[in-house]
Formats: sequence, C-alpha cells, structure tokens
Amino acid sequence: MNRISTEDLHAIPGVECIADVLPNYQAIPGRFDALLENDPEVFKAWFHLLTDHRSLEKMRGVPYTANAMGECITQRWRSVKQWLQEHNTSFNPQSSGPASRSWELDPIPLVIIDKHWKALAAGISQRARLLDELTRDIYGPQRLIADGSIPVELVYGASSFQPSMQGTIRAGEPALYLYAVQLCRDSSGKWLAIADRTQGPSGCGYTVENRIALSSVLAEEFRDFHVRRSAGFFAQLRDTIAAYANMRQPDARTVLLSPGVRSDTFFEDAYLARYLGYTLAQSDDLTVRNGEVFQKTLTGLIRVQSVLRRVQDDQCDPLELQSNSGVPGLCQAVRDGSVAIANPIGCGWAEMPAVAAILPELCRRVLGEELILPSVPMHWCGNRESANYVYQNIDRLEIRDALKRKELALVSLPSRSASDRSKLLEQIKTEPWKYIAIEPFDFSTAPVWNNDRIEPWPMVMRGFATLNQNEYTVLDGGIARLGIDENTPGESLGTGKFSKDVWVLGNEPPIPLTLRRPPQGSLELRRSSFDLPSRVAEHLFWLGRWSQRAECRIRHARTVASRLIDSTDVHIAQAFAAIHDAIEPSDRPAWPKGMTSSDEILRVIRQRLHRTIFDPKYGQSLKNILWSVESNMVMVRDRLSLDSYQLLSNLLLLNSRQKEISVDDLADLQFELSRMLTSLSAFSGMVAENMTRGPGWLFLDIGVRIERIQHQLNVMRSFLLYDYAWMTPMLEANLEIMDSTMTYRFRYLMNVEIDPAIDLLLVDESNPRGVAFQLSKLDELTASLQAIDTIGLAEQRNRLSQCRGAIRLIDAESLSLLRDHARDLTLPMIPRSTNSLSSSEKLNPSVLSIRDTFPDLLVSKRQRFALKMLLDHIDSVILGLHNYLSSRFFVHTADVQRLGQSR
Amino acid sequence: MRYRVWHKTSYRYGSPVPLSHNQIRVHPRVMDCQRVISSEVTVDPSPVARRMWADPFGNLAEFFSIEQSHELMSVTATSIVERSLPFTRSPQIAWRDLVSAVKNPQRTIDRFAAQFQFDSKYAYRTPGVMEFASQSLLRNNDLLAAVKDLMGRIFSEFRYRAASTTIETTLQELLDSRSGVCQDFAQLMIAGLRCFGIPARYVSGYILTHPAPGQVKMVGSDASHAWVSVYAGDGHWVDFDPTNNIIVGDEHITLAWGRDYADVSPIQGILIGGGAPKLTVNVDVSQIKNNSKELE
Repeated sequence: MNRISTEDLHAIPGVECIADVLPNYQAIPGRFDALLENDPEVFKAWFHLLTDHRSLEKMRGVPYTANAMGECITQRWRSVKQWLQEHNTSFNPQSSGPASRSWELDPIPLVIIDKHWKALAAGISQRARLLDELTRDIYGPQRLIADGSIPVELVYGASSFQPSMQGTIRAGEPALYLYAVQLCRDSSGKWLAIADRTQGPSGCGYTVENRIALSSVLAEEFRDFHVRRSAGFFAQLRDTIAAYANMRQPDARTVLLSPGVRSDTFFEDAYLARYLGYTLAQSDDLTVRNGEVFQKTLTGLIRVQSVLRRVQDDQCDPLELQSNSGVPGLCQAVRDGSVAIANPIGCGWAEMPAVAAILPELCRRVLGEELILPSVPMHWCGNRESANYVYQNIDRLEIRDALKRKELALVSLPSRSASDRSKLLEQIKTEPWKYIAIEPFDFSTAPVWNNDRIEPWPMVMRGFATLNQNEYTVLDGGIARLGIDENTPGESLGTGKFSKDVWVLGNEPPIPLTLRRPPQGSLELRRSSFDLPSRVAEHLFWLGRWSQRAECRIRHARTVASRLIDSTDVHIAQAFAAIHDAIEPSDRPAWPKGMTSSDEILRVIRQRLHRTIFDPKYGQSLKNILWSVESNMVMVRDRLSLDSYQLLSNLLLLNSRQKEISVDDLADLQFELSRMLTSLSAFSGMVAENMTRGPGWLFLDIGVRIERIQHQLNVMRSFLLYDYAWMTPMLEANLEIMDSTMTYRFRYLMNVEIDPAIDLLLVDESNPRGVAFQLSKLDELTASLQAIDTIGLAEQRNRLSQCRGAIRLIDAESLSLLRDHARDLTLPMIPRSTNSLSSSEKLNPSVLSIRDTFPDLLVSKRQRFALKMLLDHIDSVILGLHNYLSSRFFVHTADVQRLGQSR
Repeated sequence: MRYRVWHKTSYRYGSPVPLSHNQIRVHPRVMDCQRVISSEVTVDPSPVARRMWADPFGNLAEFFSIEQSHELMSVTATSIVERSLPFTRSPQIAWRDLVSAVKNPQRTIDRFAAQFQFDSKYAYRTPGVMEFASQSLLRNNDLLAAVKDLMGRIFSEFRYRAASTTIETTLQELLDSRSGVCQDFAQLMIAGLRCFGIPARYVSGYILTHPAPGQVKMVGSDASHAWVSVYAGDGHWVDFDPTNNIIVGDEHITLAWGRDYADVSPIQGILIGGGAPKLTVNVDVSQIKNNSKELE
C-alpha cells in the first residue's frame, strides 16, 4: 500500500472504521463479517480497496461526510462492475444445457492480510498432508485399519473405497497431488473446513480466470497491495506431476482427463488444460494397449504417462469399476505402473464427511500434531458418545449421510414432525455409522456489490494445495462463492450467485515468476506436429463448417431481407423465392400452388425467412446453427485463443438473447444480422491471423472451405432453374450473397451481366469468395495433410484438380454461349474428354436428355443445364472429400459393451 | 482328493471385435485345504497383454487384451487341484457373540473379517431378506446351528431351476418366485447373514458331480458353482453350500471369493463392437484316482 499510509487515513477526520464510510453496511446479527473484522490492519486494507486514492486526494482536508464518501465508493464500484461486464462474457460458461450456470465475478475481491493467511495456509497444508497419509494407508498397508484408528466400516462399508485399487499407489508416490478444501468462518471469524475435495478438485482454473479479470480491472490496487501471485502454484503442480510421470519415462506426456462437455467443470477443465499446457482429453480420446495408456491422434497412438484427472473415481474404468464410462483397462495400466494418475483412482474416499469428523484424533495419531484447521462442528454417529449426543439433541441437528460426499446446504433445520423424528432416530440406531449430525451453523458474510451497493452475503471459500517435495504448498488465494441469495450460502462451487477472487496481501512486492528451465537438459524445440487428438480435429472441422454455415446463412438472409422491402414484379418475387430456397436445399416445404400476386409470394418468403432464422424447431435455422457452433466451440475451447473464444461467445450470447424480430420489421432484422456477421468475420480474421498453421487450423479451414463451396454451389444452382433468375436483380443478389459485389463494381463499372458474374463467382481463382478459389485452397490444405496420409489424399486431390480443370475450360467465349438461346448443342462446360472422370462419375447419358428433365426449358438452354451438371459434379467431389476425411481422421467410437453380465 | 478341472468359456460375437479388455478369475485359489498342482489358461485369439495379479481379496486374477479383430473368443482353463477336508474345529460360538466381536473389533483379524458384513452390489439387506433369515437366527443361539438352519430352509423352500434367473434378478424377486440357481441361493444366504451382522462371503468354484446310477457322466456337463463362506471367529471361515445343503468338504474346488458375484465373476470384459454376443460355457470336473499316472 504505497500510496496511502495509515496517517493519510487519519487525515480524514471522522474515519475510524468501515461504519464511518459505509454506514448502511451492517452485519447480519450473530454472524461474522469479513469487512467489519475488528483489526486495524484489516480495516486499513478494506478501506483502501473500497475507496479509490483519487477520491481520497479530493477528500483530504475537506470536512468529511459519510454520504460523500459513500457516493465515491458507489461510483467507483459501479464503473468497475461495468468494466467486468463488458469484458467478461466468458463468465457465462454455457448458456444452455443442464450444466448451465452463470455466476458473476464480484468486483470486490476478498482481502486476507498476510498474518491471517499464514495461519490458514498452515491449516490447509496440514489437512492435505494428513488426508494424503490416510489415503495412502488404506490403499496400502492398511495399518490404520489394523490398529483400529480408522474404523473398518468407514473403509469397507463405504462405496467410495475402491477395493480393486488397493496396492496401486506406489511406494514414495503421493495420494494427493492436488487438494481442495471448502472453507467458511464461524461467528468468531475462525476458519473451518466444510468439505475436502480429493478426487479431481475443481475450481483452481476459475481462480486463474477470476484473477486475470480482476487484476486487469484493478491493476493499480493489485500492484499496490502486493497481492500474492498464483502462477507459482500451478508451476508447482505441473512440476510435481511431471516429476512422477518422468519416473516412468523422461519427457512424459500429460493429459487432463475431463468428463466432457456435458459436465459442470468442462469449461474450467479446458481453461486449466490450456493454462498448464496439457492436452485436454476425454475418455474416448484414450485407449489402453498392452497395459499402457495412449491418446488417439491423427497420426496414430501417442503414449501418455500421466493424467491429471477431473473424472470421478467410479467413472474411470468400466472394466474394473463398473462405471458407465471411462477408459477400459485404465486400472490395469495403473497397476502396471505405466501411468501416474493425479489424483490416484480411489482418492474420493477421503471426501467422506465421516472421515472429516474423525480427523482431530487421526491427526494426533498419524502426524503427532493437533489439527490446525478443524471441520465445522459435526458428530459421527459411529462413535458411541457422539451418537448419544445426537440422540439427545436430534431436534436441533442437521442429519446427513456420513459416507457420501454431499454439499451441505447448511440452512436452518426444516421443522421435523414427531413421526419423522422417531423414524430418523430408528434409522440412525440401526446403523449409526452411516449418519453424521451437523451443528447449526451461521455462515460468515463478506461484502458483495449487488443492486448498486455493498451488501453482506454469506460466503464460502475454496482453498487449494499441491505437493511440493514432502510438503503441501497452498495456493495464495482461492475462489470465494457468495450465496445462492443473500441468506443462503452456496455450498459447492456449482451453486451460488457470485464468485470472488481472493487476494492475499503480501508485505512486499511479489517476486515475479521467472520462466523456469526444465530440470534437465534443454527444451526440445517443437513445431506443430500431427499429434492432434482425432476428436479435436473433428470438432475443429465442424467448428469451421458450422461457423461458415452461420456466415453464409446470415449473408443470404440479409440479402433476401433487403430485397423483400420493395419488390412488385411477380417474376422477381418468384426468383427471390428460389434464392431463398437455396438456403435450405434439403427439407424445405413445397411452395403453395397457384400463387399469382407478388404480394402473396413475398408474404410466404417473409414467413420462411423468419423460420430459417428464428425457428428452433427447424433443424437448419440460424438459431440451431449457432447452437452447433457453440457445442463444437466448447469442445475445443483449449485450442482457441482467448480472444477468438470470446468473440464467438459474444456472438452466441447474441444468439441466446436474440429476441424474435417480427418479419415485418426488416430494417431491425438487417441490423441484427449485420451485427452477428461482424462477430463472425472477426472470428474468421482471428483464425486467419492468429492460429498456428498446424493440423488444427488445417481441419478448421478445410471445414470452412467445404462449407463455403457447398453454399455457393447451392446458390448458383438456384438461379439456373428459372429464366427470370438471369435478370440483373438476381445476379446482383447472388453477388451480394457471395460477397463479391465490390469486386464486380471495381472491375466492370456497369450493370451486372451474366458472363462477368459467372466468371467472377465460378472461374476467377483470385476471388476469395468464388468457387475456384475454394477448390484451390482445398487442394493446398489437403496437400499439407498428405504428410500423414499419402495415397488416399492423392486420390482426393486428383478429383479436385479435375474440377479445377473443368472450370478453367469455361472461357469468356463459351460463356457467351449461355446467352445464345438458338445455337450450339455442345456442352462447353463439361470437360471435353469424359475419360478424365472415373467410370462411376461419368455423366449419366440419360440425364442428357434435357427435354425429359426440364420439359419447361428450351433446348437452347442446354448450356445452362451443362453448367448445372458441372456444379453438381463439383458438389459430389466435395461430398466425397468430406466423407473421406471423416472416415480417415475422425474418431468413431463404436458401441462399447460389457461382457460378464450373464452367468 | 485330486481333480482335473476343465472350464471353457466361449463368446461368438455378432460382429467383429477390434479390441477387448478382459478380466478373468479362473485360476484356483491356493488354500490350506487346497493345493494347486497346475493351472493353465489359454486364450484364443492370442492376447497381447496378459497380467496376473492378486486381487484385493487375495484371488489370482488375470487381465488380458485382444487387439486383433475377432469374432470368436475362448478362454480355456485347465487345472489340477488337490483338495482335502477343511480344517474343522467345529467352532462353538453363539452368533450374537460373534456379531459383537465383529461390530466393535478389538483384533485385527476380526477387523478384516468385518469387511464381509457390509452390503454389496448383489448381496444386500432388505426387510424381506431380514424376515426370511430371522426365523433361522432367532431360534438358534449357536452360529453353526443357525447357519445350517438357514441353509436347510433355502434348500427346502427354493427350487433349483436352471436359467430361471438372470444377473438382474433382485433378492426380493427371488424370495417371491422361490426358484433360482446356485448364485442366487448363495447371495440370498449371504444377505440373510449380513442382516444380523454376521460376515459372509461369496465363493465361486466347482463341485464334483456324480452321474445318476447306471449313467455315464458327460464331459462338459458340469457348471461353475457358488456357495457361502461364513465367518466363525478367530480368523476361521466355514463354507456352506445351500444348493446342496451340505457343509463344504473335499468335493468342492474353490476358485475365488469376494463380497458377491460381482467381485469374482469368472470372466468380465469391455469390448468395442461385437453385436449380440453368444456365450457358451463348458465345465468338466473329474476325479483323478490316486493310482492314476497323471503327471503332477
């Protein structure tokens, strides 16, 4: 706190405590409040945080009024909050699905002064060390079971104990690499543990995210307060995992195993994987071969030596743990010692409330120390004395399952009826060890910015520890969760309305984390290699496709919308109908018959346009396309830069908030569509400029190209059908949809005509929106992929170049034939020698009978038909390429089934 | 008594299986009363990874993977085992004393036996099971007498009907239908004992079958068998076979034990593809006469 000393503080007359500044802030009676803690050092810290030094400068010497100060504070936090809202849309991790959660980052961090933190950190560290010892014992020598320290029912009576993992924690290896604890403060301000998290503790990714956001918005305070940094903790975690993995093989590969996109923690998993530099994997990405774990990648299987696990114990291996999902054979790989899992499978045992209840005694026995950080007051009924206490006090105790990790929603006891009570008592008496009783507990509160003012809300904090040699290092900071509402604390990470960054105030500026060298040798230089997980390649490919589909759809819809405003000619209206239909080539409903007026037609187009944009029931509506963008985007979150991810998140937010705009309000609709287009274009730009040209980018770009060319083929085909579609307005619309209007105008400075338009859209390889350009790009992209697949791709490239050849044959001269209705029955658009096509792709001669196919067309329009044939042919080549890539490179998890279910 | 056991499990898959991971428990267990002279398991097609390990209950388990595409898989276990009568001390202990010794175990030996008093996936306590078992337990003080009584009632009140149940059949369904196979009877009996806090475990293995008089025994006509082991205090376990209403002597061969079928199933696997697999199991248990020239 460089800028303002305590003396400054006292220079403002009348400011002695927080109440002088925030007279309306009052603690809930009987509860401890972080802001009102009676400690001068704490007060000073809060005071400087809440006020801003500039306003203090102004206040100096001015007669003090609480109102004026309060106003300053309000101003300040209002603007901080606004900044956060503008910059952190990613705090709405998923706007859909069951895992939907939106928590807000509170602009006010929780500040903890150094001396208080030291005591708490010692407690967290000790608890981690103790639980590590206990877990290693029950999965190892079981001495603590043999001597009765850990009651046998808490091991063999608990489903969280995984017998098949016994003996798998190797000597000298830890049980807890990463540990988390849920903390709260009692009415005297003493820190207590509510629950321990040992399987795959979540939340530390969020602390990084919170920290990045808050330290940029409160940059000065962050620096002046000497807030302790958290990066060192993650470096330590990585080092620890690497140390045990490297025992298996030097330069070991670590993956972060996530339960997948449907899980609550996926968002964080992806973030953490990127932050730690691990590959994000799901069970489907991993396979066990010959007792070793491998990751499935584009080039084949790559050995994995360690796994940072975020998957529950019982979801790790369907073979041995009877789970529905997981990596079959993983337990055997662990038993073989070929893979280190952090934390080892089975560690969930240490999360049981009953274990927490007996920790004080175990701490004395195992560590020979007093437990520094006790749990909230609880009584395990497996202990006779505790049980008697519970029987006598049952009316005021909260009874819970002692063996299941459950979030304690410590609310006031629901009034139990007499029969409920006797039933409960009877249950407990039959199997007391299955029950635990929690003393009623009032959560402490912390200040939150809500409703434009600072309010006290119940608070829970999560702290983290990781192993460092033989000690546990505690993350300096953590994540605080503030209430489901102002009275109810959110007990787990998943509940609660606000999240808070935790600032541990140091006494001196922190030493910046240096980029540390690896312990041995020099880092091997690496370029993008093809060890990309197949699943990731697949999602990037689809992200490319869907985002491009969204872009095409928007351009298309915008063009149609703009034309709907003033069309009177019935033919033109019909032509627009055709153009509109090109958006939805497959499952569009038939046009009502007998429409003769342009008004009628335009009304139907409007309805359909509305449907193609907003209707969630219509599979290919823009709304649904954007959902698909999202579902692929979250899957590859760790592969996208933060900026590009945020751009897309913004867009999706627009989508989820998108109010339905009436079809009659075309101007609004156009505006909204343009806004979305801007985001998408920015994303494309980001991909083009920022993404490493590795295999991930290749697949994304191939997706984009395939989608774009298919869309363009559809558009072009749509206007081949009708005579009137050849008229200038249609051509103009097509140029606009394909974003080529400007180029055309620059080149031709005249009305749009068919020959130059076709030349630009189809033939010109320099037009990035044209068909020829996409073909040449696809050729380049597939050429880069040939590094990993020579033969199959060579065949695909052959077909692409045939298409390019056919397009080049369309010269200006032959184009002019198109307009000539009377002449020439040759097919100038088709390669002259059909031998260049493989037999299956030879043009079907029967289709050449134009009269049969298009009886309403004049024979002289044969050229047009020939053009359509060419476009169809390109389309089939592109479809073939898509199918080939998909079958060759993507994961196809076949049905997995279980044997041994019949006797 | 010396036996040769031949146990073949075959799966014919509906579609090719490119990869499968399996765990088998078909090696006989080494015990005081059971000497394993040889035990061999062949797997076809040949697996890439084979690992043997002692599972948490001390059984010899084996893990293997097949990484080549296959539509048929067979696991054949051939063992030669010498089985003697179990050490019988005929423990005289009131079951209530045993229960209190296990409930508040003061000795390590009781603590580890206590793990078999808890509910498991297939052998769990229900009011119905409790009611059924209570008749036997309440009218007997002595542990062995009570267990024998329970075994006898399962034997007489339930009909053995092959294929009348599946792995999904619940204990209540079993109590209602009063018919099942050896696995069901064993698990019912275990659950009944656990209702009163008596540790009981599930044993998988084989039993020597005797052909009907005048008939020749068919090779492969036997089946795998299951019975119950009950804790009798002081680290002693006594085996009861409710399917045959006998205390296990030297005509049973033990493969493995655990909390219930789930812990010791002879084969379990996870495979990709496979369509609808068809399972065939053949077991043959034959006695080797003492004067036989069978090689050790």
